[in-house]
Amino acid sequence: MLAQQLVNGLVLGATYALFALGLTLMFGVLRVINLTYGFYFSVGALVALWLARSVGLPIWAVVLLGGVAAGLVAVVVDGVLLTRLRRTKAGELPSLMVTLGAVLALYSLSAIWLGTEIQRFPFDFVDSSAFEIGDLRISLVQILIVCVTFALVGLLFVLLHYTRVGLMIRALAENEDTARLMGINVDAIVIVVSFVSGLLGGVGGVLIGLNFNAIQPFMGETMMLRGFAVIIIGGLGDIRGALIAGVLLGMFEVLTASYISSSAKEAVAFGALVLTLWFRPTGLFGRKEVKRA
Amino acid sequence: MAEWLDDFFFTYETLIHGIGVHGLLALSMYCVMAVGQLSLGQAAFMGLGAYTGALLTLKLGLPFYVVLPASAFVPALIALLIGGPTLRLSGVYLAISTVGLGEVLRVIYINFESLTGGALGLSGIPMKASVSLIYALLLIALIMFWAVGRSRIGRAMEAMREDEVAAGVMGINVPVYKLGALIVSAMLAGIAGCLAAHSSSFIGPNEYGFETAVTILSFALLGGIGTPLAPVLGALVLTALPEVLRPLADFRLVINGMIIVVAILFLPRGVLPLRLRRSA
Amino acid sequence: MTTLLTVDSLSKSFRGVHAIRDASFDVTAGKVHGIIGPNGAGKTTLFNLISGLLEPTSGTVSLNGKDISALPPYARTQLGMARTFQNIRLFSEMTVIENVLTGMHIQLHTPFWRTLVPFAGAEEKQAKAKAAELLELVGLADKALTRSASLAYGEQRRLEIARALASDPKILLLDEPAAGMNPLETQDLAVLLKKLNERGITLLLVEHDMRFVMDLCDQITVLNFGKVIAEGEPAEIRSNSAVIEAYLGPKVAERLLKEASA
Repeated sequence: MLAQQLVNGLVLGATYALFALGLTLMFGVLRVINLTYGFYFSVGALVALWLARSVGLPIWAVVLLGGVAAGLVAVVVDGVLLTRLRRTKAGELPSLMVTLGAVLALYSLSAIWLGTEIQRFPFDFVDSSAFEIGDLRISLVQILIVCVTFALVGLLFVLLHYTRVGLMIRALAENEDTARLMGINVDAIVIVVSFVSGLLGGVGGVLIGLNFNAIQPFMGETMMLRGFAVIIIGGLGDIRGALIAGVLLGMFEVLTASYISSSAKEAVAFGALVLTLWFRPTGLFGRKEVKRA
Repeated sequence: MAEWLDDFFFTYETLIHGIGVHGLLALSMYCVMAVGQLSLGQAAFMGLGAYTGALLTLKLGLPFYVVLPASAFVPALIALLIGGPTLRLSGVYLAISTVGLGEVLRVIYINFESLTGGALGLSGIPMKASVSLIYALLLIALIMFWAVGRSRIGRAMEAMREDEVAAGVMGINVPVYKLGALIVSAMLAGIAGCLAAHSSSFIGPNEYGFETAVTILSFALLGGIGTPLAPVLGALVLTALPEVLRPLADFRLVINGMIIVVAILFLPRGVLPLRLRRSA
Repeated sequence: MTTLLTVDSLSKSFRGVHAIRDASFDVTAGKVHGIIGPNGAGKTTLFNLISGLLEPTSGTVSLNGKDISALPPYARTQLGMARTFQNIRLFSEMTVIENVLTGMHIQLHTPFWRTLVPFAGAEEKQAKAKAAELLELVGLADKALTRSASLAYGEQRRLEIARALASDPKILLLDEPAAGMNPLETQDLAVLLKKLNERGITLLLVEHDMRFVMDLCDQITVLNFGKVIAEGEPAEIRSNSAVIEAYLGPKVAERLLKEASA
């Protein structure tokens, strides 16, 4: 049934968009492809799981605190790994590699600590009731996911375009040296951007965790491929592009799973990534100058 | 042969095979990094070589001297497909598009069960890769890289690594060099995969994922990429180390990851900051 | 007098900001041609368009009558164009002579396996001799084996020129070659550039130092806000009201011209 698939696709796509938003924000402003980003996704989900199970917090608090925890981890990781490289202007590839090594260490440590078995939220933590319109079923969790995504995207938009901090973030995205000359405290803005990105990734993790009710430390790793596909298709650093591409990818995956095969779904993201690189390397909406060598 | 040497080979045969194969993988990583690029697809290329080789041997019964080149050819083709568009762009594009390759291939290996054996992988691969063959290939590859490194091509590669724009202005055809390096590196990784498959009798779909990709990178970064020998030494140390330090085996991936972090932050030219000499 | 390089109605805009607008001029073979203009006039953008680091929004660049607008930088080098950078871009880990040898890339053809055969590097030997000559010419012969990052600033600039010359260019593009040099170094540089010009190399240079440009150049093109506002020999440019206005603002220019005519 097509309508149901489209709804499911929209919900999945919303979480992809949310996840990719933080990733593209990091690249757009901080100029790093940060591979530890997938780990924030796992952190969000794992913290939410712990809060729900052991502390017994309600769902809204779990979503919020999962995101905040991931944001804090993001700030610490960025500070430890990237401050030094940023100061020496080491470029994109060294920062990519350093986050690559770090993320392997982080995943492996958390797998040693928490195990790799799939864990689930307590029974009846997630309200399983749903609206039904004819054959169409929309669960409360799905509504929650879409609402949270829209709320966060709205807040991000307001932050970037209607606040002083947002102005500084945009200045930093244009040019770090100019931003410094304008008296912007770049280090502080870097912390803000890391926190916001981590929060977006973390909330994405909580929402996906709720959607599928399956959580384990490595869950962020498979998500990274989708994140990359979305930010390349949308254009590196392009927030609007990431939103649209995220939703599109979610839709395509759901449709592929139901009309072709569920295993083909896993290849959709990569296929779309490679096709984009061949035919529109700056992304579907990209206008950015591609430097030639 | 002396008796202790026999014993030594018997006890450590897997390790000796492993070091040779990892040496080839380290060289394949070196090949890409020598032109200032980063590929995270070396494990995926290795897997392609392993599956190609194993299937040709098991299903078609082809002789090994046909199987080995074929398992270099298939990854090279995929490298061409990915490198074609990405290498004209900045370095992050290649890294991003190769990081997903391993994951996609894993899904394919698992789902094409009739051909690839699915999650169980392929077993009963004849042991056709002898220690002497592995090390002979490693030696040939080393000599080749050393020769290329000392020639005008090596100079062009070093120039690209330092400043791609300036290298282009020198008349160096940067995109072609980058694509060439990626293809050669995919071929080497494919050969390494084929050798690994024919020295362990079993391959599975989960052996060529993210962790392996990062481990291969850690070989190159531990050794540094100033000379082709350095990454091979990096592979030697990182392959032998877990054998020596058994209690640390669980933390192998943590250590590999930390090596990359420490190398990038504190030893940007590797533990062996050598530089290839071109008798000038 | 043959035209070597033609820039024809070249335009470049970045996100709607016009950096170069409809610029046209010719560079005559064998001359020293200068491009001047106030800060932000688009000189470096123009240079990047000519050398192929940027693609023009519209218009063409031709070398020897051949349209090269769509060619990447390496192909332009192969056709006889070389350049230096305003913010020096040497291969800093390499030695001085290796930098020059890298500049010779397009002239060398020995396959790599020849390095495995002893006594077979005839081409490489010739290349080294030529590189040594070039270093002699720019006054760096005694530093051939120094790591290039450890050179003094002025030496780095001269090495960049030697490296650019290594490709045997017909035309050499120099992006602010005298920037950051003291008067003495600037004088040496002028002597060097004259020597190169006498060897038949056409020079196109962007420069801030007015006296340097006026002394050296045969022909000058003036840019302001991305547009060509004047073109001519140094003497003409010196008395051109549009140029004076661009540099000093309209009021000062008016007074100066009045004083001159009084």
